[in-house]
Amino acid sequence: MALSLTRRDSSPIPVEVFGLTPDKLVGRNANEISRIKVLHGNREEMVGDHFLATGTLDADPVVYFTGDCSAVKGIGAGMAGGFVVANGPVGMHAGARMSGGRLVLTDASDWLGAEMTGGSIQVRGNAGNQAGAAYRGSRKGMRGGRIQIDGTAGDELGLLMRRGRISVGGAVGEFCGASMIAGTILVAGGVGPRCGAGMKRGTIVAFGKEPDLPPGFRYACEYTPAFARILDRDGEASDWGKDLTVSSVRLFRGDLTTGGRGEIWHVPSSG
Amino acid sequence: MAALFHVRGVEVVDTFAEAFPMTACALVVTAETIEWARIAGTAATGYAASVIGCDAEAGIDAELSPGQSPDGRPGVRILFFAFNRDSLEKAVVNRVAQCVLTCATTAVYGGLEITEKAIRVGGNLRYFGDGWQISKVIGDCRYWRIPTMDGEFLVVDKAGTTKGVAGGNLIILAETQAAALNGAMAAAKAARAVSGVILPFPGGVVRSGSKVGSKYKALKASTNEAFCPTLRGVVPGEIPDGVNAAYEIVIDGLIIEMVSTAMRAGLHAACRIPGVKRITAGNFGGKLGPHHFFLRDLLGDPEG
Repeated sequence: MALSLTRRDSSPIPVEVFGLTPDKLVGRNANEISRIKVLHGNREEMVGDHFLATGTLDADPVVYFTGDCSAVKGIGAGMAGGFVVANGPVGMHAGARMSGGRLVLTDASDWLGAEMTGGSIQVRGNAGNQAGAAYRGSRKGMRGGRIQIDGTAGDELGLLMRRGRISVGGAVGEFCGASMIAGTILVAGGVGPRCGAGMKRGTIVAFGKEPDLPPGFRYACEYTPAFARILDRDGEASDWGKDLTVSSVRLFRGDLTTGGRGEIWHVPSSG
Repeated sequence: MAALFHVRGVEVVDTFAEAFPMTACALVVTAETIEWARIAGTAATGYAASVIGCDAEAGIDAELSPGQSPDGRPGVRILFFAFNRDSLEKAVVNRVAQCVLTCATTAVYGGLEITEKAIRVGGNLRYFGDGWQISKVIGDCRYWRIPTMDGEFLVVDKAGTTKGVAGGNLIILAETQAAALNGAMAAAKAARAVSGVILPFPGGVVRSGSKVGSKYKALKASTNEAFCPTLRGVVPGEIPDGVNAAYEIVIDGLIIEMVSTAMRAGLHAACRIPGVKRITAGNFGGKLGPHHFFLRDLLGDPEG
């Protein structure tokens, strides 16, 4: 049985639903859930003030957010298990710091999956800035799990990313993978300027146009890594669908300002 | 003298092969071509006939098509057997380091499920990267990418192990050396076709059947004179009249059923070869290993 949370209004003042996740709501009925406190701007109000809650959650919990949730912050944030679906755009911090479960969104705003440690996020449309990134002042961004964005993503995708996989079907903005520590980012539609700036380790796979890299990167070679096939098969598992096996990759090493152990694979043919 | 059964006119002695547990692991080695995968597999399983004198018993279990391998390239699956997990890890790491890492275009993947009883393969080899090795985690599996002159060597961090069975065997006695060898080769071919087993000796056939111990104290094993036709008449023998040569096939497998299936296939294949007179099996009176494969249980022909 699923729980449905239908937005009652479309106020531009943000509603924060951090903690309203399936794993924490299991066993509660719609009335109980309606009485859970949430922040509306700087005021403490109840879920029922902003959402019509229907249904219940069983051992295999699913939560549906419907209506205009573009000002609803933190959908799926901190979730450890279960399944959250939002039909329509959602606000910032969706899936942030989640450690398990699955989040499926139509469109996402900034800080999607920020500092997440596990689970998976799928966005059918576009995402904003700082997807999978570290919050300001944090030392590590995404630490596990996977984010799949079918459309485009904004700036600072995977900033300070430590582990996991982010794949983007469209283009991404500036500073993709900046200061990356490890992990894998795949971008099918081209990366913006300063991709990989300050990256220590990790892999960025950039399909399409040649990336505009910072001066700390050096062209290394053209080769066909066996690991590309492993990445490719891992992608098939999540329907990402890009073929990494059809051609060799052009390898760039960097950023030399931080040791030069990061890598950017440029795949001219998008496969 | 034990009782005799007959299969296609060949005498089968009512005895048993005595096998014992060994720690086993499987690796999948892929390469750009099946030829290079075979080269790597053959090199990595060299000098691995018997743990009496080798660090492990090893062999190629199967060839994999691109569709069957983890990275879409052709490959081979290799099985390794050793006395315990520590000695297995040491043998596998050394063999992969010297024979697979060095071999053009290869990559190494685990062939068994990872449990807490896994051995570290890439985790030990990564230091060859001298700091330039790259760790990647996909799902629950960690890989190491080590820079090499042709690109990079990809190897799994850990490989799963299992409690395997070593020492399944058949001894094939025939009128002539040629007939005995033909029988042993047929048996080896049939046994090798069973998934999950290897025949670690050269060509799958052993000429130097051994017994435990020796008149020389330093030796752990010595020739089994009871099956040496040149010693007929001077030592108590197992060689009947009309037999002038014998060969043994030795089978290691991941599970007991695989070994018995391979022994059954081997026994019936050998019985089809003209000149084969008798088939028996080696044991130590039940004192060495807990797994006893009775030949009378293998009489049903798998091919009808």
